[in-house]
Amino acid sequence: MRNGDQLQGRNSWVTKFFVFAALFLVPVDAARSAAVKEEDPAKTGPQARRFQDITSVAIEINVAPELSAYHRKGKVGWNKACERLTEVFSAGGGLWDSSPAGSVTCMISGKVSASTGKSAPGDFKITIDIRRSDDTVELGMALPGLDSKKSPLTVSTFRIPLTEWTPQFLADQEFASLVAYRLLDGGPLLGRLDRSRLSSKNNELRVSEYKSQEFKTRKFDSIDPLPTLSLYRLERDQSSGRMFATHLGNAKLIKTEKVKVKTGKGASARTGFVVTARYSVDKKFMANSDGSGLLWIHSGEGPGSRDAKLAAAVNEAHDRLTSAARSGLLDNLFSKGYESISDLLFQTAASGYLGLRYGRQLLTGNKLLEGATMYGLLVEVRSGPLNGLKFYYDSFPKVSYENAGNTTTLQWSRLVLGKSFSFAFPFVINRIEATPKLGRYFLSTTQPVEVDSDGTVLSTQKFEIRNQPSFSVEISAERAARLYTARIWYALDRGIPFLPLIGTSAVSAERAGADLFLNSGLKSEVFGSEYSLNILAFGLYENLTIEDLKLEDLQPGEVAVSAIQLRSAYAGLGLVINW
Amino acid sequence: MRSRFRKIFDVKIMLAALVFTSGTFLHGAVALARTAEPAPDIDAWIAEAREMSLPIQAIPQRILLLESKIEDPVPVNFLADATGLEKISPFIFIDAASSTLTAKLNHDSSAKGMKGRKVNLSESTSANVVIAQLSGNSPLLYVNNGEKLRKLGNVKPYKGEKSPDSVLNWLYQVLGYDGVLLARKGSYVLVSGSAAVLRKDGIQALAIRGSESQLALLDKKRSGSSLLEIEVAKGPYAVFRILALAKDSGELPAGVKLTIQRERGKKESE
Repeated sequence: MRNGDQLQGRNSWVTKFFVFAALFLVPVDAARSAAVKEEDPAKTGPQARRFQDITSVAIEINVAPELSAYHRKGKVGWNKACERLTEVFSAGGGLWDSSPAGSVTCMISGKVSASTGKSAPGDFKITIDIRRSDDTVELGMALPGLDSKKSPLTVSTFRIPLTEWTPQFLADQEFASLVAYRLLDGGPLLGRLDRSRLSSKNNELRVSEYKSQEFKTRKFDSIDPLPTLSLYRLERDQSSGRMFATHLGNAKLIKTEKVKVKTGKGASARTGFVVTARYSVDKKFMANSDGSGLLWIHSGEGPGSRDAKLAAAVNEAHDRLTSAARSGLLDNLFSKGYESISDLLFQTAASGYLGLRYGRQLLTGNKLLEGATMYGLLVEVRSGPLNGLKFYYDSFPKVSYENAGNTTTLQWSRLVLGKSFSFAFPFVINRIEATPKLGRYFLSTTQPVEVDSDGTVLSTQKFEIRNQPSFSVEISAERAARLYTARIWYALDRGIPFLPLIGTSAVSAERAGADLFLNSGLKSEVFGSEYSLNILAFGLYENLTIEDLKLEDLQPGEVAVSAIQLRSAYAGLGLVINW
Repeated sequence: MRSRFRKIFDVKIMLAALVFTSGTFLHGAVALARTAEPAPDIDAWIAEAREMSLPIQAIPQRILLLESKIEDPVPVNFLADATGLEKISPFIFIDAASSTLTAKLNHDSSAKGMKGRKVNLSESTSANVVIAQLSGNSPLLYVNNGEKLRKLGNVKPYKGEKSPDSVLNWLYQVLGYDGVLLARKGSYVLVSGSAAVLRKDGIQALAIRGSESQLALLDKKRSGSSLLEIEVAKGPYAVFRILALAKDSGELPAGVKLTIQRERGKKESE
């Protein structure tokens, strides 16, 4: 008999029953059934523990009321952002054909603004909340009741700075795709396996970077396609909310292709490119896939495995958009892509800080340093081609102290040039920066070399270095908000083998400090770019050692300064222009 | 001596009961056979049954086979790929790849690189039947009693290749039955079992009295409540017709376990 066939030629059940019953010996006394006893299911435990196949997904995007009016007048508002978000969260509408949703609804202050597809009662509902958190926009993705209390479980969340351009940024396909991709990457469903993307033999899968490529308007660096994909069915335990995957196979990236394409005719014809990733689907999937039911896709490494990379991509993209917006180049960026404006951004020096600062020595006990001051110039570029560039010039004017007719003096300065590499950070602080730096030190000092028992200076000697190179690494953590930017940092200078050969001295130092940039609220627009004035409060501690490497052998009785060690701490204020 | 006498006496009672009960069955079964309505559409019924809610103790819903001890911090799955087994049985088997992916998707701390919440094995896999230490001589059988996994005892060790047919055959032996009744409509019941057994023509099955709340029947003594005959089968599902029903067998609730005839009986006409 084949499955599904009606059984034919039924035997006499009487005969079969006796044969059957004789085979299995049926004692009638039910009370004596000695099978393992368990508790009555009606009295203990959940009565229903069924696993619901997740075969369709509905996404609801909620834009909080406090954001609805927050956008630049006359510019793109949240309705446009909603339209774009419904598009990129629709199945296959996101980056690399991601997103699992058959229907998406975007609501602003509880009212439907945009929607695609039709939701059904059996949909697995995912909620995206977009709300204000201080001076940032917090985006969070939640699944329905993953705990016994059935409260939604947020599986993915991050923040971007809130600006008047935020809805305009989110209305952009590339940026919205990046944001959606990062949110979905933290959840249980990155994408839906559309069988039309599988080859006829089911052994190759193709995904496109963007569903509808907006030609030659690339604004950000590409996000590489995932190296491996997991292909699975998904169920949800109705009672616990947990999800259970049945792994059907993997797909491995073979190659990424950039194909030229042309759309439209005549004057409306446009040429561009589509980037496609080709995956090889493993034999397990080909053996297991029976073509029924919807399958889902996620990274082979699981949710969140690329979050650091995606966070950096979103932050970098936001920085580019912000610098273009502040430079009045946003429309150029949207229409012609980043390459077209990178030169312009360079000319306008992109965004960053330029400031002057003044500080006074805090430590007591050293008569020479008491009353010492410092002046500084600082420049930091926060986006554009010079993104991460830092330049500092600190000058410590001459101080002197006279003791028994002998005068000790100190005057020094340094130039430091660095390039920072920033990494987004999800909690409390926004980013962490690592900055390798090269510096030049200038120092001139007259120091006591002979002191009697009561501290009287008997003789002094001059110690001087000029243009002495140093290498240092600085680590900083920063929290940025609309009214302030706070940063703590630590830097370490260490001589590296070749530096002593270049200079005549070895510089080593440890520095630590904190900077607080307060937004004064004063703004000005010059040539389409917006400049704002910040007040800087800072403090730093420094332990500097400079050793004379060329000190020749001394004659008996001869005294010379072989090294200088300076411990100092400064605090002060400054004015910083931010653009 | 008394014990032996008791055994002989029991067998006599059983045989007498069998004849008596069969008479009772005969009467009811004739009535059922003569008034039998058309068998329900099996596809629709399977779809309907998949949406049903059954107590966790009623039917093996997710089965986990472990090489390791159940207490081991990182349990080692016996199965690398469960899909072959799932094609020939109604159960969900949790294989290594699926359990790893499941842990990742739920952000469990047991998944590589995850810093999520800690969950126990029962919660992380939601298995209601677990057989652990499969590489040993006396594997242990655990079932979920509605709240947590509970150890039932040692079971027959698995020997041989990990082919789906032999694993499933061994599993049914370990569980002590061949099928589970999922639903009843009039004279018909929907049953899940081994596809290899259900595809045989004209087979009969015996519903085991009081088994609806037991995931495993480790004791060989059992009593029947009804006799069934197959109507139509589809993979690991089949519709059986009730031939005979003991008067005191009640409603034949979902979750009742079945002993299914492995070989077709001889035809009367032959």
